[in-house]
Amino acid sequence: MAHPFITLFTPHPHNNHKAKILQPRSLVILIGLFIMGRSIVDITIGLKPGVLGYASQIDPNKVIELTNKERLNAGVSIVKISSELNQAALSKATDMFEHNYWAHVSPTGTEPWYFVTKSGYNYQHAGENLARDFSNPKDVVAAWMASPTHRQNLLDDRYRDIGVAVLDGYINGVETTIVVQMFGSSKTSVSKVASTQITSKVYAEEIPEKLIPESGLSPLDLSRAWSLAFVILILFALSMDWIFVLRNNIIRISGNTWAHLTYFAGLAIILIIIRQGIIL
Amino acid sequence: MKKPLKSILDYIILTLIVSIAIILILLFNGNKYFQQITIIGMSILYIVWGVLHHLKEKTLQTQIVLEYVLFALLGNLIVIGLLK
Repeated sequence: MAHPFITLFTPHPHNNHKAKILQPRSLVILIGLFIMGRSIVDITIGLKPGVLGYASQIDPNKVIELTNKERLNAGVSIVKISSELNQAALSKATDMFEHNYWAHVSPTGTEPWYFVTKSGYNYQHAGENLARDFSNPKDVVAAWMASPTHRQNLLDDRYRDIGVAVLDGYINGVETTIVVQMFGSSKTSVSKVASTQITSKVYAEEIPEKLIPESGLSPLDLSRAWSLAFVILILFALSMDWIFVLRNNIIRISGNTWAHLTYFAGLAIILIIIRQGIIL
Repeated sequence: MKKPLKSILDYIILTLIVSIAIILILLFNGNKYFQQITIIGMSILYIVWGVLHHLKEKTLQTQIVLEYVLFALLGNLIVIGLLK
């Protein structure tokens, strides 16, 4: 009697010369298991939004720090935290969740500058970058830097101040985290460049600490890990099958293992390169 | 000698399909809609490839088509689940 592990992963007379895990019945079970696993993650997020630290790992201060790092690398002066721009970014993020949209301009025609003015920031120049569904600040800034328009905004030398808001909520019924980054140069700062008073005031204003869960578990990372685990399992089974069939010269009625391997190897690469977040 | 050469051409075509899909995914990074279309397109072409390949090899059977469909379905679920 062959060991169940052997019949599960290798062709054997007991499994009709085809690894059990690659047989249609097992594939249906695998599909069911995959859906079940994903549902558990989704339900957990829905019932206890904080349990997996849903995207709360994005620290606004870290976004600003990374932005300034990029600006310094590009030889551009750093931007300073502005409480008004923080408030503007927060108002914009709240507005997007309240009115269920993902855009620079709201469906009612409200532009980002409305929030900037409303916060009390008297701007000369202003800019906005948006991001959603990212699991960490590094990826957010990297995505903005990879996009020519966002990069231009991020490295614009005219901007003196910055405000960032990170907010969790639902858009079209899907839980998401929005990152709003507002840049600006106030009319005051433009006319009084290097005013020490303004500089010291701005430096003193810090974004309130955002609670970052210590677990470091993000549902986005968990979903990716779950998907990768399935692809690796299938790739392992297919590789074993291919080696055994080739070595033992087995003739059987079956799909082409090499073709399945190519398809799943492609999927594995796609899973690794795919970026989950969206920028706007 | 002819048969293996024909098979090699088949494998080159499949590798091309998968490679183009990977390039498109990279190009459309951030655009979930087009990425979903790319994955679905790649999976449909993979099934079509399987059917044509086995037809040519005279080994086409319902069981084999079902195998390709199930692999494609599992593959789609795995990747598209991440692009929700």
